[in-house]
Amino acid sequence: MSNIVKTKALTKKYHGFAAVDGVNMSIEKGDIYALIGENGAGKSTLMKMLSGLAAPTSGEVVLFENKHPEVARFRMGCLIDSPALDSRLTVRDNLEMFSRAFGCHKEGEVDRILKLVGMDGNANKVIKKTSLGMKQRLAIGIALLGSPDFLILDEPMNGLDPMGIQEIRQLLKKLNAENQTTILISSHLLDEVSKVATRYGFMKAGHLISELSNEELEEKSKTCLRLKVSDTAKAAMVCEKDLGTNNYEVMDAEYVRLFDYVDESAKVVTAMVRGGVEVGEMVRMGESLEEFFNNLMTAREEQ
Amino acid sequence: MKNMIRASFYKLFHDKATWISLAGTAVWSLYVCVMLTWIADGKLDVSDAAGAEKYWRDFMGYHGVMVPLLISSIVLFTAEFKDKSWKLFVARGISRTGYYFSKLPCILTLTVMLSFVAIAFGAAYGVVMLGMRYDATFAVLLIRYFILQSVAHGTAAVLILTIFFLIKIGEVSSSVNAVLLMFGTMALSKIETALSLGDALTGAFAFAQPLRVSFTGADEWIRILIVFVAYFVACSLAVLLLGVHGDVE
Repeated sequence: MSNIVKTKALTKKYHGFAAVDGVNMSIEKGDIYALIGENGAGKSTLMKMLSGLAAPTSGEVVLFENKHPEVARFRMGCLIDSPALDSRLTVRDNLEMFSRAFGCHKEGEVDRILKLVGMDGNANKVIKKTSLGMKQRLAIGIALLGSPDFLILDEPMNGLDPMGIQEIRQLLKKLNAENQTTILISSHLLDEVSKVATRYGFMKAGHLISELSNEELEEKSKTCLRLKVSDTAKAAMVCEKDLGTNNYEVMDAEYVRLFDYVDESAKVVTAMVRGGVEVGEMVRMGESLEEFFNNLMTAREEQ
Repeated sequence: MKNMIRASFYKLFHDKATWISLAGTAVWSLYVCVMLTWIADGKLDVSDAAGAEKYWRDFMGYHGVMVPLLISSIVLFTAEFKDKSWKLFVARGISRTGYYFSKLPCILTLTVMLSFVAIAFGAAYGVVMLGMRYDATFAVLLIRYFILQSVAHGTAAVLILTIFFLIKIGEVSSSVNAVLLMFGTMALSKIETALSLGDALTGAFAFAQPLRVSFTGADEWIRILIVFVAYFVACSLAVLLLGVHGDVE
């Protein structure tokens, strides 16, 4: 699998303050890489450096395994910060102009993009008279002009209604599945991101503090039943002998987490009672991406 | 850069600002022609000794082409910085100098179009309404005048675009250009008079160039061309040295 992005100790400082500090990241072909972090974590700055809008203070960016990123950027589509459109032109004119500038103007390209982002009914509207959601769709459309191999989308769901979010999510999945388009996406809507991403990078205070694959994240955030029991040793025996599973974890003197039978709580309680274990409390638990993110951030702060 | 030039021209011909500025020049040109008729008929008293010729020269130097050029340029060329849409070009690997140089043919085309409209309306009015004789000599003078005015206005256009590109904050760059247009020539002229410098300053000032082109003057074309080339080189160097640094906001 080839590298689409590789950064080495990438750093960006503004007046001595490191907005991005020594980031080493790699994105492989076909990844949908979600960049997650709080406001000011350095996500947008990192994306700006990848797209050539900000010059790194130190470090290196390699795009498409080419050490001259300015050459490789012809294969990229970007949406950074708010939608940047020519507000005096119509939706169609914007696409026509940008398609010429990007060297991908051909018969039907603009209509294809209009349809792709659901703007075919608003093609002749002047940008300054369109809603934020429409602008966002068009900005995504401009990023998709010429079918780039790599998309950088900074908060692409901003301003979209729930239907729009769903459509864009499906579009990104489709582009990734059909064209092997690699996507770097940042969003505050963590649950939305978790529906499309295949890899995650967590940023805090300019540092990339953790990188996980979808499988690793699922493993870390899988659902379970948390039981408060009278005797954890007995509870463990019940799990193994009566319920026939080793997929449990004794947390401390009172709590046990059971990763099987998550949707069969009655069966678990019955087995525990028969085994002489009193169940004081039973809670179905599961770390969503949001919970995982919050815990990760808190853990980082405590370090 | 070829693609970027295509995109810039697409915008030039699809933005209403272009056509409104051309219409503005046409209307203003006709208005000035009517004024000239009144001067010729003695209905309008022009106290200035130069009379009608100066009236036309001021029109070509300030209101006729320069004001519509500046207004339409503000709309056409600062909007991409204000809307931040220019960063999309940079993010696709188009260099900043490539961006600047792709806009140059665009603003020069706009300048030629505006000069053509002003002069064509003036000439047509002169022939139809004032009974000017349209013969070969007149045609040659007219074409020469049109080319020189285009080049003279082009000098100002190069400076206008460079100021837009280097400053990037539309309000500031537009104000700088407007001040240079309105007061630059006058201020330099006063300095020249005070220091007895002849026309050393206004002769080299971009915004004063259109004022220096006369319909019948024969020897000014070399100077007009030299000043245009000098501004083109100086502005290109300024962009290459100053315009490629810093982050794209």
